[in-house]
Amino acid sequence: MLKRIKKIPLILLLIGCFCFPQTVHAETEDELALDPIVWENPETGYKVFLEDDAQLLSPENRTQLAAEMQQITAYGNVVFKSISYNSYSASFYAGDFYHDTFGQSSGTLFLIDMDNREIYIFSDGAVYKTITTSYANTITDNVYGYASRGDYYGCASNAYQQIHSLLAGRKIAQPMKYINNALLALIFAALINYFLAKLLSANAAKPSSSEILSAISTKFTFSNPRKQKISQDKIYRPLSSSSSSSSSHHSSGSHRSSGSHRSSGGHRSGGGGGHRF
Amino acid sequence: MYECPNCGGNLKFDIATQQLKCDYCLTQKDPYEITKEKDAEENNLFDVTVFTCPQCGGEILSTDTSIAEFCSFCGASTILTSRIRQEKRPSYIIPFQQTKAACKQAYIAKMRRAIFAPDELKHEKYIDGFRGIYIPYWAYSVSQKGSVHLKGEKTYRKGDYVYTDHYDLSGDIDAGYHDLSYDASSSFSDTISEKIAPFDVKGTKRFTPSFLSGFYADTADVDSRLYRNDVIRLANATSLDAIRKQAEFRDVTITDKKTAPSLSNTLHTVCPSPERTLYPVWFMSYRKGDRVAYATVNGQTGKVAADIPIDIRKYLLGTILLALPVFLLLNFLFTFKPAFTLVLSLLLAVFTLVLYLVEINQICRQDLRTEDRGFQFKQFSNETDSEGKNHGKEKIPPTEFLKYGKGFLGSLIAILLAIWIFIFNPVSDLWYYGGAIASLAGVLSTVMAIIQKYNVLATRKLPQFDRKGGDDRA
Repeated sequence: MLKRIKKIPLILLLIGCFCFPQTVHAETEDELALDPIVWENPETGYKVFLEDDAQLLSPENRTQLAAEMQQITAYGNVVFKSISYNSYSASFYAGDFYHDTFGQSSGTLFLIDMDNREIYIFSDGAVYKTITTSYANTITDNVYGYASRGDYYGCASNAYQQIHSLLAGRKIAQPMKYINNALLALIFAALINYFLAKLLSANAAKPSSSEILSAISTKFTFSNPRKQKISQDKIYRPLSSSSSSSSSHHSSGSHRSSGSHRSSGGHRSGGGGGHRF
Repeated sequence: MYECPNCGGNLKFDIATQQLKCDYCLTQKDPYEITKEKDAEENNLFDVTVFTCPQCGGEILSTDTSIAEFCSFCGASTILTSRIRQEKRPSYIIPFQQTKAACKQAYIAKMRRAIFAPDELKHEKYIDGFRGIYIPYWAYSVSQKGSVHLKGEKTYRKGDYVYTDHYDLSGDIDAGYHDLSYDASSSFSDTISEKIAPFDVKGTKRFTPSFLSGFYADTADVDSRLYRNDVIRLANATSLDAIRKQAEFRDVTITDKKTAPSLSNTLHTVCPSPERTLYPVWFMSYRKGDRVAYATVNGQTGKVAADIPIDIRKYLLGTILLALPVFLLLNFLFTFKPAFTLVLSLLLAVFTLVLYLVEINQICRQDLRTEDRGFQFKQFSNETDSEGKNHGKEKIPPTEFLKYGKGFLGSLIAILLAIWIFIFNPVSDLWYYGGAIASLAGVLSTVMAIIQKYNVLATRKLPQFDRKGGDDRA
């Protein structure tokens, strides 16, 4: 029964596609590729948005990918975006595009940036609490190989599957993370252990002068101490009031925030991770 | 040998009672009551048996004539040649206070912490090899008596003016520092004697040879002038510091920046010839191949200093065990991208390389005994002044570093490979993982080399004392 309910949005989408065949036929194939697919989950109000500007997907792939993306709308908006020109970084474009499309609403975006040869996952809102930057990095690490081989559908499809798995509370394979951490753990352990071994084998430090003196017999008396003033120097050295103020003005000049780009500033939420391909 | 007046048995010094005690009839005698004909105090010399190691030339002295079967300095199990010699009589001695059992307990307590030490060092048979040896020390005394005149100044501000008042400071000093002790044996490394110091010289007793019965003694072969300047410097600095703390002078800064000779004149420092003394040390050597490790316990205070090598197998096992929680912690806290992993590996490789060079520098210094002034004095007595000034802190030539192996190559190759990957900047993560694995291998190989070098550092070259009778081919 549950499976049937899950299939309803897919059926609705396919019906939607087939119900308006005349508009598809009226356009050229190139124009068809540029048309975004937009679908809204009637239960949650979250949307699927698929826009393949770089024309990386075949029409069948687009339809199929859009259907796969729908399952994520249970948690938030889901966007696929491919671009062939980008004058910014993939991370900036992804965040900016998502906010322009959905504002601060919860959701995730998968970007294929052909200009920077980079895939990027951006998430915001409740989805970002699950698809964190580290998970975005992990997923893009797991799927960048598809993009390298030109299988963009496989790349996006796998990314969405892993995003959905995480949102549904399941685990995803993170082999690269474990390899990374195993390597680092071994290096750190080797060095820490070396210092530990040295520490545990160390001898007491050489005794200080005071320890040496306390072990011998000493006497010290200083009688008739006298202090006689013999001369005085007087130098004019007024207290300067400006010397310390110059440095304090430094910080008030130009404050650069890494978050302020072409948008009108303001708070920018969300985040993500990516990988070159 | 000191004969028991009761049964003719051998009287030996008993630490627990601080008396001479017969092993057979348990008779106890005051050490000052039992003397040989030539032990008389007016005689500046006394008879000892000198045992010489045929391998290293190390000499130990004893009042017994029984055969010594191993050398404490090089660890050789061999019959030491012996001959009777007359030695200069020390003025004072600190008799052993710590029994062999207490010494072993102190050593075991230290080794309990040393979890990476080879098991042999904790073995009962090895620990039983502790030998009580009296080490010769020069005990210097310094006196300062007379009228002292120093310069001082006080600086303060009033409005826009800074005032400096200059003062003449004076007073009468009467200070004394007695029995500042320095190791007088070139065969007993300064690095060891410093670590088991200080001896509490308040426990010093007038020397009589019978204190040596049952123990050995090392020979004093370092010139008494060697440490004289150190003693004077310490006494001058201590007195000057005490003068500064006088209530009358607290608001004044003493400005005398006098060199040691003139400060000695100001403070009327007098340092006569030092006294010969003997201090008790429990001594044990552990020989492995061409290296020897020493364990020493201060025979008066029980302070332990030991050369403790690291067992490679234990180290590797410990590394793997430690890697597990580190791995879990990293998984919990971080997700590093492959490029960042490579950066971290690169930084760790650089760190390891620096560590290697630092360790090699120490090893070179220890092996060349550049900071052992007693040894340097003996080795270069023809080339340097009486204070061994020319030897101690000089730079180690780069060729010496290379003699100690090429363990740095692992980290160096890892660094170069990582830099090459960053320049090449490939897309595939496999390059970065490959680089990180290479860095790991490089770092581990260098760390292993460091541990091997540390083990060299924790042990010593087999000594060659270049005394008559010493021959390492024997």
